[in-house]
Amino acid sequence: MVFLKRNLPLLICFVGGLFFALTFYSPTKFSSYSRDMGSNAFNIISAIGTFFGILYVIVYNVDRVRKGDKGFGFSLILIVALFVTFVSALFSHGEYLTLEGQLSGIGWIFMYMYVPLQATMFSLLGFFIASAAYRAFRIKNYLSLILFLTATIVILGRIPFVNDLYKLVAGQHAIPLSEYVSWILQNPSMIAQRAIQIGITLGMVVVSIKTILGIDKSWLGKE
Amino acid sequence: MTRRFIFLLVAIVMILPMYFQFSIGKVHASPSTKGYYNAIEKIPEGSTVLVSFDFDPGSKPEIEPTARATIWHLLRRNVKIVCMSLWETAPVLAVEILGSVTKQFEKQTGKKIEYGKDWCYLGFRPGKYSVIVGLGESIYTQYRTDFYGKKTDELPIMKDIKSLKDFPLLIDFGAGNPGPETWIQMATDKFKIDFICATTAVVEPTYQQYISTGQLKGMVGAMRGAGEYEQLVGINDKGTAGVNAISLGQLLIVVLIILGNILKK
Amino acid sequence: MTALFLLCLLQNDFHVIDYPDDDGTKVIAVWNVNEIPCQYEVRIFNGQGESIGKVSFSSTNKEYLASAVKLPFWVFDKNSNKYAVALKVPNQGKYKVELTKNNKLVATADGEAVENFFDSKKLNNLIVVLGFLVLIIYFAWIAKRKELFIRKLAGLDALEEAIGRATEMGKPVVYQLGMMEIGEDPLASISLVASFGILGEVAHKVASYETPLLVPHRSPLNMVICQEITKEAYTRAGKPHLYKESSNFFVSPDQFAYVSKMEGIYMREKPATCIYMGYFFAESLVLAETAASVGAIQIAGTDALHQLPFFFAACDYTLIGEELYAAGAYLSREYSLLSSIKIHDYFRILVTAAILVATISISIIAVSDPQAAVNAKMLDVFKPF
Repeated sequence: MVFLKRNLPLLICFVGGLFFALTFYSPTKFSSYSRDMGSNAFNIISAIGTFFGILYVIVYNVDRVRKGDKGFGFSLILIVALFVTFVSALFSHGEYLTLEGQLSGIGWIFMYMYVPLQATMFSLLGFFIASAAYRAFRIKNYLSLILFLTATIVILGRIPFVNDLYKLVAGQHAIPLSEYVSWILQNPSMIAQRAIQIGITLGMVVVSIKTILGIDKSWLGKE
Repeated sequence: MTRRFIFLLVAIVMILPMYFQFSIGKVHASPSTKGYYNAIEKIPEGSTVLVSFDFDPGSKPEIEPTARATIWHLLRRNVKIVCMSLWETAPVLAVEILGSVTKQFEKQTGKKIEYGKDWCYLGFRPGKYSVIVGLGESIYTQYRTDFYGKKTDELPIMKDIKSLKDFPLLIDFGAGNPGPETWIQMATDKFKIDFICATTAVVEPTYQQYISTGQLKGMVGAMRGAGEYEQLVGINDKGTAGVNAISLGQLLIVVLIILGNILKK
Repeated sequence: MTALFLLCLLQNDFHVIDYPDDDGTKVIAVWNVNEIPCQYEVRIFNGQGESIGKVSFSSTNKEYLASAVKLPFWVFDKNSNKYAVALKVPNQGKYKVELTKNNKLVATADGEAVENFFDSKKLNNLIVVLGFLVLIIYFAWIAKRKELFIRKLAGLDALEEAIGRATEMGKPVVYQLGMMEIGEDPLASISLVASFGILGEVAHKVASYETPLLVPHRSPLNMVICQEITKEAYTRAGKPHLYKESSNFFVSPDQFAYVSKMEGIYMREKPATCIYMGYFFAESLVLAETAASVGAIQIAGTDALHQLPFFFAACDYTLIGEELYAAGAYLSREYSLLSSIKIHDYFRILVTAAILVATISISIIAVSDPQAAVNAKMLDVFKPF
């Protein structure tokens, strides 16, 4: 059991990791074929995983409805929505558009239900940015003051009437405010981002090597 | 309570400019938006560009205005457009945008735009990175047929196209991963293709690094960028209307930060 | 006299070599640069004498100079006094190449395309990786013998307190692994592997305190892995009877369907502690702000650069980029894992030093000759091929 749960996965990880790492250094057709096969194998595993995931959702929610748990109505809605979407997809042969270019059943559900729902959820971000700005942005010291001032320049520098106002004050030949905004984004902001990015990339290499060598076994849980 | 009041304020500030369509000043294009516009202006007439629709319904409001204006701009410049998607949620959105813009263009200019000759949509292929790598070798191994099931190599627009290298410009309407970064890593650097993108406000600052290195010739960032780009193209659509709402929204955020510091000290 | 003139025209130095480090689908034709402007055409023929490709260009076109070939200096002699034209061939084998100058045949040469086993273009990359490997093994060995100093990470030190608070309040701890599926994206999967390690430690602490744990998933594959990790953590804490299979649950592979479900859970369950470790997208702020509105302590760690500002604004503690990879080791205090943090730090120093040296040297060269700086061989060492 220990062999199947720990030693075998570690062996597969080591051999697989080493093999795919070596294919990177080998330009042969076999290498690129192996990488393609690896990618296809993952797609197949992922598809099977998704199938079981959906099965899990159905079983879990049917169980809730059967037991009459608190909020079982939501589970019922989920089951009905899943069934209707599945049947529509079946009747539309999985195509979103008919041969005449019209929306099929599944296409209609996608366009007029899925799209607005997704857009609504995404738009919440705008509201939460505002509440986070009010709640969390505290100017406690000179560093946070610098951050606030920089952010203000970037935000205001992109507002049309602020630009007009700036031109009135600074004169028509002054460097446009948008140039300052670009400078901030492409210099101070970029320096910090690149530094973090380099750190992240090095971290990735270390984690990868540790995992392949079996030094880090935490992804298997501990013994 | 304060939170709900803030939400209400945001809603008012965003809805009013869109509903009453008032303007709060002339939109000034940022250097990255100008770069995007110039990259399209630079392509010789009659050439063919590749456009990838890599977004989902959630990011549609931010990217769609630029996508529409770009297709319009390309058609006006007499450039042929080959479209594709790396996101499974994109095809319906792409077909809707391409269909309506081409029809509108025909109506306004009286010029006939033919599918397969002036534009085509190849559809979605799963595989992300491997699709891009495959396109670098040959378009036809990845897309034997287009979105409508027609043989890709029989489309007149594909006559001189074999692989990614045959496109002078690649445009990505990308909301995340796979998106602009993926194209840069896997294709545009390798094959030396000019590359521009339209993206969401969340990832826009991250992609600025590619502007400074020249890996991105230009970028339109979200609704604001769309408004700037529409002004450059000379059309007045969703982007322009959105700029005013977003500008006021951002002004509100600055006010909220100040208020937060005064009231919650 | 005519014969002598023709001899002058002949390109005796014309030769064809295998394209280095490829899969046997290219050869390169090389010959000396001609000072007199002319039009070149290079044609390639297979063993049966059939033409399989040609390249035409003007002698003034710098794209066909050997110096413009995209190969590092240790693989190919990038001599700016030579032309180098790469020609595609269908597969390995012998090919005949003809060179015409102003439509007159001036040289022919035979060449062979060979499939190379080792890609020596990537030698720079291999050396760095081997360097990593040696250091990792060395520090793992050192860490066994003496304790390594690791600086404090406030976010992780607060974990104990955050879980303790959840216990006192009798509310659950929510642990989220981000939006990626294992293997979905090679790079983003790394943060997921790191997150698995942190989950093991969090689950161990949660089990010790007998606090409820919720681990929602957008990927069934992640869920299966995390079920095993959580189960083992509970067993390790001596509380296997408290483990619930349902503490790991699948929500939806769709980003915003997942978010809406999580918002519902936040509002109904009002968790005391929310932990976000992994690669997140736009949902980060929506999740974090909703959790803040129900009064949860929040600890986040992500290597998604574009989401860091949102987590900074909305969470109590945020691990920046690579701190996420160090978190598992930091919490477990295992010597073999702690050593990797040290290695990471040393590599950072080495990379910074390399960037500094290269930037200063190139800048010095650029002051006197900007073109020389662009063509400097040293730059090849830093480039990916």
